[in-house]
Amino acid sequence: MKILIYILLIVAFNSLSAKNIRWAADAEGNAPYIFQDPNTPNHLLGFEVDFMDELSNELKLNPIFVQNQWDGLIPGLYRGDYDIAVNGLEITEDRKLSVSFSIPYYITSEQIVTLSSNPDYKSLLDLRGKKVGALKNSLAERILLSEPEINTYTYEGEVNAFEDLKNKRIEAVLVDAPIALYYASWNPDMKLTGEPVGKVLYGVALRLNDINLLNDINNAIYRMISNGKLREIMDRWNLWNPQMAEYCNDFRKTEQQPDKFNYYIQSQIRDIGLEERLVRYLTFMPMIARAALMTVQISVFSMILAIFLGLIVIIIRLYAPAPLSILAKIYVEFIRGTPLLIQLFFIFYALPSIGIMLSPFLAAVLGLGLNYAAYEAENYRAGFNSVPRGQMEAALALGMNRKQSLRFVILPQAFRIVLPPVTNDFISLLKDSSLVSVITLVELTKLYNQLSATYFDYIGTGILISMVYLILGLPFVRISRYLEKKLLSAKDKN
Amino acid sequence: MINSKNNIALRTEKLRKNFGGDDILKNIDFEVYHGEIISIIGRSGCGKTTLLRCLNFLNILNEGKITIAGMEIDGKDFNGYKIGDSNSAKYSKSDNYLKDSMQFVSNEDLQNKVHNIRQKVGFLFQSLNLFPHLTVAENIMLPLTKVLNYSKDEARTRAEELLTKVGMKKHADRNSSRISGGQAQRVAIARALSTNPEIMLYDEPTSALDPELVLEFIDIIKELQSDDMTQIIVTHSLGLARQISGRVAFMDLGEIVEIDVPEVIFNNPQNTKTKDYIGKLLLA
Repeated sequence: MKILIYILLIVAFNSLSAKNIRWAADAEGNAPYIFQDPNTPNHLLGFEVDFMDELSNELKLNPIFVQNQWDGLIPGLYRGDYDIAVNGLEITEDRKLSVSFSIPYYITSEQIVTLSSNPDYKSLLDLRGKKVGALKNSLAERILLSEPEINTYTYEGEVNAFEDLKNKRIEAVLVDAPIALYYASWNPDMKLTGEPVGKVLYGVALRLNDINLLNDINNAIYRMISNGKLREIMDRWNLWNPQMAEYCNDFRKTEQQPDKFNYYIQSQIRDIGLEERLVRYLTFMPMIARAALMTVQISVFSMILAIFLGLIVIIIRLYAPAPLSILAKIYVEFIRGTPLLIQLFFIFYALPSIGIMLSPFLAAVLGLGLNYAAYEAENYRAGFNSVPRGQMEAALALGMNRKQSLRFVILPQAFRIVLPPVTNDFISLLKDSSLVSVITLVELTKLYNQLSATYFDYIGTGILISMVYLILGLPFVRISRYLEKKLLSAKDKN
Repeated sequence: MINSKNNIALRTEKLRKNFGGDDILKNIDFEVYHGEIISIIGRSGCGKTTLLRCLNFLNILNEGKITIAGMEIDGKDFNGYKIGDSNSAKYSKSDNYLKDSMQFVSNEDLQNKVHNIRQKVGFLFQSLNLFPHLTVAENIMLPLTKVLNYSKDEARTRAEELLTKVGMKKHADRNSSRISGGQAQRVAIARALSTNPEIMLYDEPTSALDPELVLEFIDIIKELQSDDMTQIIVTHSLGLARQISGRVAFMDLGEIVEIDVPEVIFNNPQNTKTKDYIGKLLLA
């Protein structure tokens, strides 16, 4: 009987979890793909959100959104963090080596954007000898790089590219047409110019071995094409174009209003006053609080790890027999000498291939903790170094053993000396924690990127988020000062 | 020589100590009797401090035998172990701190033996080495609670007794880094006495004291002598050696050249090296 219930439970659980489809994208202000609603920033909008809603509907699955850095969308698939990636991933031959793609859900081309004051550029030929920007890892970048006479500049985000265009560091930008439509078409300073360049196909990316799911998705997209749902989505986002008409064999005139496009453009064009801006900042607060909590949690846990691990490392280095102590030395040099970012990627994406699968949070804490442990070990070494060697001898001569001497004589003295540099490292860790956004965690800096890209408000959000960092760091500085004072006053008794 | 030879507190036989290829101590053979005060004099670098440090294994002998506090340790016992001597060239140069001469000695019996010897042998460092993060009383309570497993209250009571003995009780709760040199020395002596040692070793105890404080130090030594404490004093002060010692040892180039009662060493030295040294200094 018990076994029966057990089996039923398992079946029930499996059928529950089977109803979900986890899809990943990077919601970092990427209109019209996926971005935060400018009016209610914790709500996500985008034609890919709508596409996924409809696709899940067709698949009879429940969509669950997973935030993931764009660069890491494919590695994340193989970590098993989600089932599919849907985020303007162009179907290219080299990507097909690592993932399988569904049939396209959107087809478009690259678009040249330049300043209104610049001449019209009819094609890539006119761009020869010019400085042209493109997004990192995009088809546009590859097209530009294949033209040796064009000076190609690569950008992390479209906003950065358009800012540089405005600042006249570059003369044109080549981007996917939807980006041009959403970032430049409505802006009087910029214009879309020339013929469409190349052909861009967006597909749903899956793990190579998920063949059943691939078939289901292909069938679902096919149904969405036939029943006009795909067109409706694209019309509402003002994205329907001749390539799509040809692809879907649907040449009807557009009747649907581009209401979602208009909604976005309205929010961008409207000049908002100070009061409204402040109200907007207020709406950020719950998100900031969540991100700040993430930042603090990661920082505190990794610092605790670093403090203890650093101590173990330095004690091994000083007291363990040669092979171990050399290992400790190598650890410090290796960790200090290699980039934290690469260490994080390694822990997050490389370790799963040898069976060590850590959650993003654990990977972040471990990555930062292991890294800072090396620095703390060196801080301790400086602290130990500054304790006169007679202290150890005196303790030993009194009959204390080495452990007791360390614990009760050396450590308390070294601790006082290392407190300021360790506090220093903690403040620095608080800010280095922003690096963990590359392993999908949304902490303060990631939030800043998302918000500032949504509102083009780099100064306001920048000041806001910087203040939060400052405020987060202050208590720790105070605690450290207090401890220092307390330790000193113990020394100054009478 | 008041005490009989059967009552030996400490004996070294053919003791040799080598630092980086040089014999700092060679062929040291001497005996100290229970309750005796011996001063060791000689030029800087003659090995007298090293000898003292070898006696409680802050430095480890290379050869020979040490019998102390009822235990016997042979240089051979350390064969095969790296020695974590603070002055040893073998010791890693980069991390030149936190020395424990026994660090690489894994023989547990040997470790325990040295551990026990160190409890039975008090050592007064030239630099005193009080623990600056602790108060005066806490300096003494630490070995009591950690080595003799006293409770905190017992340790406090015992610490106060010891501080009373050296006249420092009223400073019990002061910070140990905020007291004068003479006061610090008395605290250091009280601390060295905390584990009830049978032998006290003093390394240059009066080098930093003004003449009046030297007299106070002598008072403490004499009081300990009346408690039958065996005491070895390494010193540059011939006056001190002459005044308090039962015997005086003169060391030169790592050897004990002559050991005898003060009257002989200072008035009628037998060895020419002793004569040379004493003569020069007494004339100066």
